[in-house]
Amino acid sequence: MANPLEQFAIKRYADLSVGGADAAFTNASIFMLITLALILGFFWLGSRNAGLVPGRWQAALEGVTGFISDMVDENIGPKGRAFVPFIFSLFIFILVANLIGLFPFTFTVTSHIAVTFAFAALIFLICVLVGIAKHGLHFFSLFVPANTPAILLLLIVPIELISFLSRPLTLSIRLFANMTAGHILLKVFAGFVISLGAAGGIYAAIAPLPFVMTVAFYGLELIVAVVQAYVFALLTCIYLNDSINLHH
Amino acid sequence: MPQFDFTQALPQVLWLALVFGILYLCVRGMVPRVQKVVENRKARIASDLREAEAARDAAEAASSGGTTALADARARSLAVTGKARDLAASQTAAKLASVDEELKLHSERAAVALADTRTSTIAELDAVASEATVELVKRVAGLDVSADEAAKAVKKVAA
Repeated sequence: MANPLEQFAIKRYADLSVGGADAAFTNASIFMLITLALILGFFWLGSRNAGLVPGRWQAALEGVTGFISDMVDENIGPKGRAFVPFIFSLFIFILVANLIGLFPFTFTVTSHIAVTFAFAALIFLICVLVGIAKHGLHFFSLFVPANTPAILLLLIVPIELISFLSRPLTLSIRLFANMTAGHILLKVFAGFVISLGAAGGIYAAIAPLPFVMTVAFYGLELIVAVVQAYVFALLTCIYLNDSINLHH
Repeated sequence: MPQFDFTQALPQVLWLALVFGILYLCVRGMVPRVQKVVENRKARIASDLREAEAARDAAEAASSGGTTALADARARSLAVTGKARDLAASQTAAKLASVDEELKLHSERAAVALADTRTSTIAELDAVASEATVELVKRVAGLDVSADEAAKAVKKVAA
């Protein structure tokens, strides 16, 4: 049976370097570019002939845009308008990358912790910078809930601090673990079909069972791919709301 | 697990920065355009709805005006026909009365004429009877009777 982890291997196609840093062109780069191309193609289809009465692609593009701007409005409020393009980019990139990964023989960009952590670190950085820019040192009152007795503060401030600092970890590991676990599961069950069939006899007779499981898991993974993109965008909104509105 | 081979992390992060940067710039250009189209549509729909409402109000006002005009016209026409009917009835009555009068006159005149004719006819009949008596007496009795005598005799018998 093929190694279920093989699908996550990084294959270097060309060694490049930017200012001495390793910027090799890999299968990850290829699939990031495919993701970008698909998204830009979607934008092109959706905004060409933009009219009063929308066509199918225009309606889809307006639907996604409305979905994201509604999410930002609900979770951050009017001050969050400036972040709509950022949340939109995050959502659509993760969604399309997740969905591409569900095709056989593809590479899932979002199944690598380097990618998910890069996103999470960027979000963390933006949250801290926006918070300090908007509220100055008052931003750190985020760790001091209002009306808390002084003795409890000794306990609560460290808890709040840890929960704040662990955000990039939870954010990145959630997406990475969901994608990785789902793909391993699919690969393992698909592998069972082959190995049972190859074993012959009574084993070959039950080979369709893991195939049925694979189909069922595939449907589940489709949901996971969409839900994880949504969760990532939603949590980003919630974290940004903390920075912009300070727990209000 | 290949994901924990962090020697391969840097190229991924750099390519991600490039790709995501391009994506972000494109999205930032696109989102306001899409939102503008949606806003324009909303405004257009709102204004169309307002226009439609105004048109409906106008139509309602016109239709209520129409019904009052119709009622007016009906009342006026009823008055006109009523007047015409009354006029016709009075004219007919007058004509009838005059015709009646004339008829009465005619019938009276006819009655007078009839009476005259009757008396004159009776007188003639007397003359005929006396003549006939003269002839009869001459034939039967061979007597010559004067007309006066015959007339006296006829009168005697007729009375």
